[in-house]
Amino acid sequence: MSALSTITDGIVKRNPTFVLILGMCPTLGTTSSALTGMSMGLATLAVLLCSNMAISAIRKIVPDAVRIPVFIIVIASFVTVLEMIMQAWLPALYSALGIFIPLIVVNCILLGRAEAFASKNDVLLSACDGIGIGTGFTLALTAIGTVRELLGNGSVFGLQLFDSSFGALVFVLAPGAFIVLGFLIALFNYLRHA
Amino acid sequence: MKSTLTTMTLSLTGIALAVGAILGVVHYATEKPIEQAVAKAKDAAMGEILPPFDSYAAGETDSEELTLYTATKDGQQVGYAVDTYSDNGFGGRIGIVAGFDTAGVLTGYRVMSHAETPGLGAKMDEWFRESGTGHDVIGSSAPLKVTKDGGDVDAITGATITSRAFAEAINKAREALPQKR
Amino acid sequence: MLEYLSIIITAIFVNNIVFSQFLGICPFIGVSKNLDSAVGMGLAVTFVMAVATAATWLLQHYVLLPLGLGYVQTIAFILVIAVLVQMLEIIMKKSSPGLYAALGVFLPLITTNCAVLGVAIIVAQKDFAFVHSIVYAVATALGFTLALIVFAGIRMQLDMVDVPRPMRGVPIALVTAGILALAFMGFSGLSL
Repeated sequence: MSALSTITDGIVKRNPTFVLILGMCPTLGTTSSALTGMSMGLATLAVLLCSNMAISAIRKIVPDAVRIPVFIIVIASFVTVLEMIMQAWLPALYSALGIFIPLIVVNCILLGRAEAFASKNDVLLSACDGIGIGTGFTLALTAIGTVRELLGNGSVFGLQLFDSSFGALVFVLAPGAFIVLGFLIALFNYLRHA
Repeated sequence: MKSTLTTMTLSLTGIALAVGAILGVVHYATEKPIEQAVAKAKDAAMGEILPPFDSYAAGETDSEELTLYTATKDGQQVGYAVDTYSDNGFGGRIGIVAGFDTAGVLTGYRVMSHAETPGLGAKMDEWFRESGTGHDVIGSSAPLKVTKDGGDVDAITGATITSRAFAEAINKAREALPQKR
Repeated sequence: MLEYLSIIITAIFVNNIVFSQFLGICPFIGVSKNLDSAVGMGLAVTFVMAVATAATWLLQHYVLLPLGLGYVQTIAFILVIAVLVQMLEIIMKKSSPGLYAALGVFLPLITTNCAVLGVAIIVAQKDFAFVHSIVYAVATALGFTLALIVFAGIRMQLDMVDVPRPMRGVPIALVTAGILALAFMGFSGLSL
């Protein structure tokens, strides 16, 4: 398993959103626009990269019986660090993403990658896995955000393509999140098996 | 690694110490920038919501929970800003600074903190000052009420709760203004 | 009393945790394939959410805030929840094997159920009083249970339908959830 294939696997074959169906809460909750979706993806990517590397580095000195609590502590501390950094230097983004930043702690992607990958592989490979899965997650969230913002508000990344009064507001609201995600997973399934 | 009581205790203690140290350091490093970010946002907000002024300072108010600032230009009072809030937002507390001129007319507002839904309630920072709409509240001098409750302010589409909380915060600020004597 | 009734109705229908707050989606999709497990999961979450909210409320107001440690909220809350779930599992196994047989398998899943941590954080943010917090937590959990049961009922019917291949499984479930969310939006007109 090379470093490069670990990264691409995370984006396509093991895409956390479209294939593994993990981390659904932020996927639905923060994708009302392309920008917030992408920011959430990048925030998760940052925590995943750090936690994967840290867990891989300490994997040999952590007793099996307490490894899950240790993983949770490591992930939670990186999330707390991210929270403080965002409050200090990106306050607007921090308030836009709201409760979903502290909730990165319980994003199943992080604990899942820690258990399934980082606790079994070396630091470099775990970093690649973090980058791959994180990028896959970011791309997925950006895609969902783009579709919802376009259909609901007529814009992409804030760039107005048609007047927002032609948008169907339902796509920005809760039901649109579920429906867009459903159809995007179906599209991904179709393309993968085509 | 094998799990014995010793290794488990050692590793958990070790990780707790390491994490505590890291968090302490980061908290120490970000404490000042967080305060500065808040202060900077406040200065920027004051400039936007008040009539032109030279300086502002905390002023006196009857209200016990809200902070009132008096803005002056050339020694003359030109307006008030009130640090107000509502706890009835969709995602908890909404913090707003509201600006008034000396006659009590709303001259502007800025949402400072909130946890409302992105794309919905989060739109309140622009929504209530889009001029020429049914939801422009700048220039109002009476208590605000959304149309669903029999008032004349159009709520944000899909975010009535946020809109109600917004009106509540602004009204609370208005009540904290010094009474005309 | 009327105040609490309004909190309960709002938390269950108007601000349903699954359909309008997007929390607890993983178990909502994962454990809603049949009615029995939906009921079990719902009850387990209700139980844990009530206990966890009480514990984190006490932690927040008697330890973190007095010590000025508000910034470690996230990590402290998740640890309390993890320990609590583990303890509940042990106690339940010893004291009521019947209950354990029914709910036991769902307990480990609950630590990473973002609804539990989410409610604890929301309660801390909104600065609710103690009783208010517990009422809110239980009502939110009941809303979660309702969503899970309704959805499980629909999914059992969905199994018998001929769905286009790429839409099978999760995609069609999500679209169905979207339509349910649309229905739940009707409750937002309730003025309480």
